[in-house]
Amino acid sequence: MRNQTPAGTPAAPTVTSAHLLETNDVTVKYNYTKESLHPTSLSFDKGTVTALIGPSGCGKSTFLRCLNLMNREIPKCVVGGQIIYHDHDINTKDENLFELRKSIGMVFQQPTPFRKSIRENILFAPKRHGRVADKASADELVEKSLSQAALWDEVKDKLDQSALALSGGQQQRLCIARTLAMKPDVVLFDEPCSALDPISTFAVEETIRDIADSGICVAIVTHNMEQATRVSDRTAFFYMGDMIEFGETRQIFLAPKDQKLVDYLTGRFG
Amino acid sequence: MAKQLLPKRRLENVGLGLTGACVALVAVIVVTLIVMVAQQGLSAFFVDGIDFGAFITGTSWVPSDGKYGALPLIVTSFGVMVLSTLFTLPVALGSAIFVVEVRPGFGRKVFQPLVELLVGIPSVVYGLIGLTVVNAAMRAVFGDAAGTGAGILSGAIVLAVMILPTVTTLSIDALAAVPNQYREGSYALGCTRWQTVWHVVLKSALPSLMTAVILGMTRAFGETLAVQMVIGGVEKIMPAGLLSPAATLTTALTSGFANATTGSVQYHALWALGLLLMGMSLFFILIIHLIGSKGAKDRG
Repeated sequence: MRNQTPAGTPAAPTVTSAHLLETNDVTVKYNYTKESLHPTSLSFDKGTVTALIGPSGCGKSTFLRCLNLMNREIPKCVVGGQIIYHDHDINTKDENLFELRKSIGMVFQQPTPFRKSIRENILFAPKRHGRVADKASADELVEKSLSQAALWDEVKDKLDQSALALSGGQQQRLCIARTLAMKPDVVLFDEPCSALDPISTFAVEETIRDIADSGICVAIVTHNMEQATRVSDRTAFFYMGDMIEFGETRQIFLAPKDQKLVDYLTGRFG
Repeated sequence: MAKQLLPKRRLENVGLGLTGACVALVAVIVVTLIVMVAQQGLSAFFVDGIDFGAFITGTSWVPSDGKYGALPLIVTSFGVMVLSTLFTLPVALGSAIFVVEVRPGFGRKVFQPLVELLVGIPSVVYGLIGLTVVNAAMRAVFGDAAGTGAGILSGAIVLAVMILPTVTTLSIDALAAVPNQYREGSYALGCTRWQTVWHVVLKSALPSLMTAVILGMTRAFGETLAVQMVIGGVEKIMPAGLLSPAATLTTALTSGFANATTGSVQYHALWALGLLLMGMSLFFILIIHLIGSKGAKDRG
């Protein structure tokens, strides 16, 4: 469910959309002028995983960072077009970024646990947003979030130890758990496994699948094509700032239509 | 086959000798300094028979009467140090947050060079300004209660301005060293800028911020000239309040040495003050190291 907008915030213009999250001709300009992402229209649905693939610098991360308006944190970065979420265009000046990001979570390439205990990492955002009523509900939230991220069994006896003592893979799953603790309906992953070893990668991929199966809408940027085939339902291919082809993952990998995608898949550039 | 030293090997030995000599020189200087101050300072207790307990707890420092109670000096030194840190910290932290989190462009190009300019001003200039501005302001604000305007509060204010650049610059560095990923991680959870700064950035930078504060405190503790010019420094009894003129360990040392004959009891007692000062400074440095190693452990 979408969080309520606080009083005083004007409601965003209503746009009817068949999808939970949809972009209409979204563009990104860095430094006001340099268009790094050309008009891109994609849609994302509940309970599905959409992979964004393409060579380095193709605009896939740039696009992903539009979806929770993270690009607004970059000075001189301009995002154009419509981003429709729950039938509202969120790419407006009036949109409350902070409210929005409570329901659109994001996990980054580098695990970024805060310098706090494992428990406090999970409870950090819910506490800030006044969602933790008492200790019992806090404990429940910690256990549920960590279980969802398949980390509970490994850390249940050391919840009060520093999160920085965990391994890289565990830290990344902690960051996923931290995101899930906000009960988002969209989770964005920005190359979540590129800093992890194969075993941790496998664990994170399982988690991503589980998250989608629980009804959350997932978008994942990856440069690992096997990963895209393993976790995603649909795949979008980006190249040089353009979204080239979008379709069912099976179709993208088995019957690519665009010649650039064919070249990419056969390793002619990468 | 005879062993033959390669030319390169010989060069390495020369390098080893030269750099080793530098290390040895520094080590000798440090050890000599500590031994000398300790020897001179301790002779006040072991040669001249000043009671150590009375030295630490005595409330009157009048060498001409044979009274060597250093407590008023210690209290004043700590009072000035703590007060000046309290004045400086909010300003330094506030401007560091502005520079790093709010307007990085302005901060790097305009503010930081401006603050670093303050470091270069000699302490005697601070003293002069303190004497004419701060002491006068004290008289204007507190009237007769402030006397000449010289006192602990004036000293603390002047010191606060003096340590401001150190604490500010180090705080800026501390905040800037927090990886941007932490901020993004917090933003991604729907936290506001203020929540991010307060709960994530400051928390991550805490060990470095502590180091910044302690370095500022060390400087405030050891500063002499500017303090002497504004604090009065004649009355070496327990200060009655923040407005009363007083003397710190450092100002008592400088003013006392003019009247002390080499080798006299008074002379040794002043060395004992020096020893106390040095001990405190070493203690501060020890704390910085402890914080540093704890920070390293936290990072894994």
